[in-house]
Amino acid sequence: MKFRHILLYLIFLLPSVSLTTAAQQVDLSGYLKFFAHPNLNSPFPFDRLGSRLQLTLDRNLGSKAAFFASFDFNVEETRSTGRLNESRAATTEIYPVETYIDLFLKNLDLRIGKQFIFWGTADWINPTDNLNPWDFQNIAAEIEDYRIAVSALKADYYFGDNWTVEGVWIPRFTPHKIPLTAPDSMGHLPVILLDPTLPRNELESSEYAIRLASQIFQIDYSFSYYHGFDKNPSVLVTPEFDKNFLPVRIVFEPHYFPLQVFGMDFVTTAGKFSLKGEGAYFLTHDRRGTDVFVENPHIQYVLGSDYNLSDDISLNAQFIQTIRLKYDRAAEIRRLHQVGNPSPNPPEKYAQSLSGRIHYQFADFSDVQVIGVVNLRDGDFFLLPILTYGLADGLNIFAGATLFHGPSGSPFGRNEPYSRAFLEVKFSF
Amino acid sequence: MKKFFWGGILMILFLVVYSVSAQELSGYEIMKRSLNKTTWQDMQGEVELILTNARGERRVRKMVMYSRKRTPNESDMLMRFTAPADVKGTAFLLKEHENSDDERYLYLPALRRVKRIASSGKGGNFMSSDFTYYDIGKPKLNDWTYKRLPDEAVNGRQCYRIESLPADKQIARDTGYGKIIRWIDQERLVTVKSLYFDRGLREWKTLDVPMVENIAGVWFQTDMVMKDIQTGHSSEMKFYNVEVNRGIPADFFTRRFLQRAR
Repeated sequence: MKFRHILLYLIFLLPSVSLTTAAQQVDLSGYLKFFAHPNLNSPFPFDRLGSRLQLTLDRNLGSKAAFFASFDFNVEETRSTGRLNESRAATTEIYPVETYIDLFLKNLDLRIGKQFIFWGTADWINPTDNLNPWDFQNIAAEIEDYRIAVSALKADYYFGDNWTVEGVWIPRFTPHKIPLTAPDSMGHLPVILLDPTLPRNELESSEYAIRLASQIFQIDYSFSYYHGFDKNPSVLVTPEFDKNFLPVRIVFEPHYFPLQVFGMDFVTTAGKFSLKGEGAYFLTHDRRGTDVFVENPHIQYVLGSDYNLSDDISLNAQFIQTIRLKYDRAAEIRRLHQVGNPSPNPPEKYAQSLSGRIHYQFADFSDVQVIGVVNLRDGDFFLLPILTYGLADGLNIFAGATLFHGPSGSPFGRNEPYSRAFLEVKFSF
Repeated sequence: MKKFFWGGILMILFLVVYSVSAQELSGYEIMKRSLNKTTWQDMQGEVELILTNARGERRVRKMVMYSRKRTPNESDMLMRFTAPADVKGTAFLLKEHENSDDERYLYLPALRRVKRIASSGKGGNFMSSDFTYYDIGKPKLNDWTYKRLPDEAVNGRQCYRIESLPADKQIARDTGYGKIIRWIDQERLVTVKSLYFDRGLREWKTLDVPMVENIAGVWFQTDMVMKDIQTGHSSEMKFYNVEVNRGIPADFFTRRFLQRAR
């Protein structure tokens, strides 16, 4: 929808909404934020610079229904080209964050619309959380920055003492937002990177998931199943030949293959500790483990604990392991040589990582937290320190950084060019 | 004339018996009466929590609170923040268990998640205030030993004064308190003032109760001010629109309702 149409729509809509009038019970809330994200690599350009107004409307429709609609009006100065004839709206985006209707029946809750659905008990790394894609280019303070809402139908059915069955249907696939890059050439051959091939826009390509949750002996647990597509692209590398069967170029084609995930998680507490675990078996498209371009079937699990050292300090530590199944690293290296990769460095069969978080409230209205993840094989790491200062009720300042570091081929080392600092001032109303 | 004479004798006898009874009540008996007075099955109300630091800076938190007794010694509580805007929608669910750890869940709308959180112990601060979870809950009678001190008046009302000491070291560790002195209104059997000592028996906090209201036959502290003498911080908790025995169903205190915006 064009910007002008959206604006006209809101001009007619907003006067019919008043702030918490007794008759209509519509709440209008949101926030206004200024943000500056300078890149930490020379010459330190701004990756993001601008402001955002988020408007949220929510309303009860009796006791049986409600609606929620949230829109971002985002001004991103880095979009400006500086040309004289550039429209003032060139730096402006308007987009929905979440828009959904809730229906509350006796034992059944339904939510239909664009929404966030997050599963899993672990922190940051959730093998069972496969419904909403990530925007890895935009790790920042707000969830709507680094996660993408999807249009879905969600149903929660409650029965027995403590049982819940949750079903989700997502008609249309949305992948992770990942910067896709390719080398300029391989050997003497030029490389071209094609646009990703998405699953066809049809019913058969929809995603669905189900989760069964309950509690026993004060342990909350759940089992889940996801059927859909890997939101990470598999990049197929194929040579193109001329009429004389001579290779003329190498083609990189990102492709999204089917995926099934069988998962489970649990959480419980013991005194000042909480103990949690989450794991999943990923049944990928490469069931025999012979395709070097597609992830092997694998198991990933997370075991961790939270601990409240005091009222002011809380700690979290997690161990993460990925086990690649039907995997022979030596054979993988041979296959990568065959397709023209001169120095292949495929992952190990077993990959371990550690993650941690420390949260410290050092003054009445100020706190600092540091989140970190380190991959044990290459020693590459991600660090997210955030300082929060509450200037007044509803007015906060956030300062921090997203830091990637490690060897150039490693998962976090590859993202080192995206390391950035951030400063945000946010007023909520 | 005779009627007035015998009426007067009866009145005097009544006052003597009453004052003798009052004088004879032990600290334990007074606490028992105070804790076991008629209470509600469920309650709901609006709460304003005003936090003031040593520099006089204030933050105001508003919330809606629901509470229900599951058993005589276990309650469920659900609270939802309504202000300020940056915490609006944050909700907290507490399910007490007499013989095991309480269950605590936190819903953070910014993260769209319900998190099971570890206990910080009964001595942990409630919502970053100077009230602890122990302070806002119902004390267990046998966790403490009691000694009656000389009666004293508070705001013109005669009060029992009771000194409480932890029955064992675990209670002191869990609550953070080495001693508590309470002033309990003799007529209403509600605490109107308290003085808290830390485990080193240094004065730590004071509780003042500027307002007590009778709601459904029970005297309820609708305005409480807790001051931390050691840090200069203070917290005031005010209750509004309190309703009791509305028949809040047990399944209201579940993760299902924790995630609802209202």
